[in-house]
Amino acid sequence: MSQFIFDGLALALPLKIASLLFAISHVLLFWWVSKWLYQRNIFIKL
Amino acid sequence: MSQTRRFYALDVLRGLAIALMILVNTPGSWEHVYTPLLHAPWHGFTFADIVFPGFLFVVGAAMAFSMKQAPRSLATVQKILKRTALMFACGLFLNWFWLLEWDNLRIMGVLQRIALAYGVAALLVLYLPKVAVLPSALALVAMYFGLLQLGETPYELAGNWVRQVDLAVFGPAHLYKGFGMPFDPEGLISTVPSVFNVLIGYWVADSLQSRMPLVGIRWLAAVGAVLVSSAVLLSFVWPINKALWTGSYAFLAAGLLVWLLAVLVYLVDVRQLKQLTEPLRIYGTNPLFIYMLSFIWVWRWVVCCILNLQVKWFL
Repeated sequence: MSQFIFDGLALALPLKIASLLFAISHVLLFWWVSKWLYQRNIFIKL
Repeated sequence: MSQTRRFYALDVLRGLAIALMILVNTPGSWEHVYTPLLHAPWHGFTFADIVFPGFLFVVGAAMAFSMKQAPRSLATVQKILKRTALMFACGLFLNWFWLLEWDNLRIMGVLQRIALAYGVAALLVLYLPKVAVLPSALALVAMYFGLLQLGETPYELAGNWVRQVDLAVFGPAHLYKGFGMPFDPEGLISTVPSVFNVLIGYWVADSLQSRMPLVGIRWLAAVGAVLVSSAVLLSFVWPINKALWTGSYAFLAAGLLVWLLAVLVYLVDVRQLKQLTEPLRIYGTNPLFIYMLSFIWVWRWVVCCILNLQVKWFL
């Protein structure tokens, strides 16, 4: 799936921009996970 | 500036550190990365090199609030040691998860360094008077400078003392191998100056509590300037190097982070741009979990997609 996404981006964009957009998509993905946990008051701490 | 709001700015900084860590660690292809998002190969400093000290800085800053009422007791020490051990174990688990084998298990790593730096810094904060925190942080950096001089070639990859100690303590099989030879950028001895970054975070957050927003921002700007200037001067005798965590690197990263905190305090407290910073604050609410999840995700991506190796289980 990840390869598919990067390949798709690389088809349409210069490789460095595709690589950066791929990283930004991960930033957004994990932000969504953080928000999901936050909205349910789930805080995992040591 | 209320304590809540200042804490809010630190939460935003924590979230920013997490976001930048994921941005740096998950490029679509490691062969096509903008230079600022790559770590300096040896001497030098890039944008990516500020992320790790950022984690240490916010760990220290959080201590300024969490340890405010902590009594000097055995129970507090046990709590600190327990957190240190658990965090170290989490890092060790991630290293094991990378290869699923024990023979070449890397002992040190990012979480391990955060754990050890937290443990040492928390004990110093607990037992030292507040005025002694900053001098002790500087003393640790000075001590590390002395330790590094014990190496044959203090600032070279092969002959530095960090590597020699790690080879003697852990053995070559248990060190990071990404530098072409066994050398751990999160080595045992180089963890000493990283305590400085935790203690600076503590000292800054603690000092900031008694200053009103604009005074606080000016103070942060001045502290950042002193740290960055010191780093530049120090770099003439002690190269800026993340892998060795040299004093000049520790100072430069700390100074830039203090400036970044000043910007965040300005956005949160002066401009009241809470809507702009709220997504970052949310990012920082589960830092350890998100760090570990992203690490496991990257592992999956590297092993399954780039190296095209057969995975042992469940993916």
